[in-house]
Amino acid sequence: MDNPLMPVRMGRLLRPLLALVLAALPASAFGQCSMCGTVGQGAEDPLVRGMFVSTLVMVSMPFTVVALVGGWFYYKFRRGAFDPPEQEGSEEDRVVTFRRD
Amino acid sequence: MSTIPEALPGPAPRPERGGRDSGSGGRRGLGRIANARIAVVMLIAAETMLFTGLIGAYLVLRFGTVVWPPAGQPRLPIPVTAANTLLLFLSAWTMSRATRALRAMDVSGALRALRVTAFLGAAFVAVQGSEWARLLAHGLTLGSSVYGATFYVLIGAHATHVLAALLWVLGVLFVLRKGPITARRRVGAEVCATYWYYVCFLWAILFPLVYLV
Repeated sequence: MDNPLMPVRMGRLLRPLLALVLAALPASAFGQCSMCGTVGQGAEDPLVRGMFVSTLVMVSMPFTVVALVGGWFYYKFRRGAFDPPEQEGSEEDRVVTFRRD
Repeated sequence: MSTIPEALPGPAPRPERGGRDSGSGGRRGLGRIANARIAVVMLIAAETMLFTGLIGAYLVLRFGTVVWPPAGQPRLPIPVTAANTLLLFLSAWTMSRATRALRAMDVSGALRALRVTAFLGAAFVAVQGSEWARLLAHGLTLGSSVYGATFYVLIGAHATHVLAALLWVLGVLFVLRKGPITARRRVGAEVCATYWYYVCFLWAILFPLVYLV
């Protein structure tokens, strides 16, 4: 059953996502800031290298978190694994019915 | 014609709420995710960003130092901590047993598994504490070097989270002992389990990063 919030099939989202991940993998992704490289002793300076690795980890993390949270919501709705509605009281309400003479 | 009520008047029946808020999200709407689950997911996202910042700082300082660990600093107790890691992962397994027992409405099984989880978590924290005491005695302190500072901040932040999760597990134990397993209590216990799994996952990242690399 199609969910109105998820009109696009997952496969069509995966391809651009995969392209994005593959684009980030090359070694050039580690050289985020040329100024940092020149201020230090070049890209081989351990401190500059540490900053590059650290920046890569910290900048990628928000995207990773959002993707995981979004994926979790998608999984929940796709599987239909919902929680029962909260009950506001343990007693059934008394219902008044009328009968005609 | 007169109308005679068949029952004493009582409160009017609550109208059944349709659409988003109704039951299992079949034909009627999108279904329901408990607020507690969404809250713990948001909590985990925030904690992830906290640890990302700490790990980022650790990476800069770690790679910025040519010799690591610095000379004159005591070495970390890898074998003891590795065994301690197994304890923590075992507690994740016992926690999964507890949630499975809750779904099967097996109260005694769930309580037993939760007690074992709490014991293993407490053992983990106790062993970490004893190792810290030894390291302090050998001169590795917050102020002794960058090595000590990064170690205590990272591992200390994790230990705080384990302690908080442990208190949460004890709270869940207390609530489950009080009465029957309702849907709300079950969701509460599962949410606690989610946070416990996260704490174990964090250690799986921190242990290799701080102790092994």
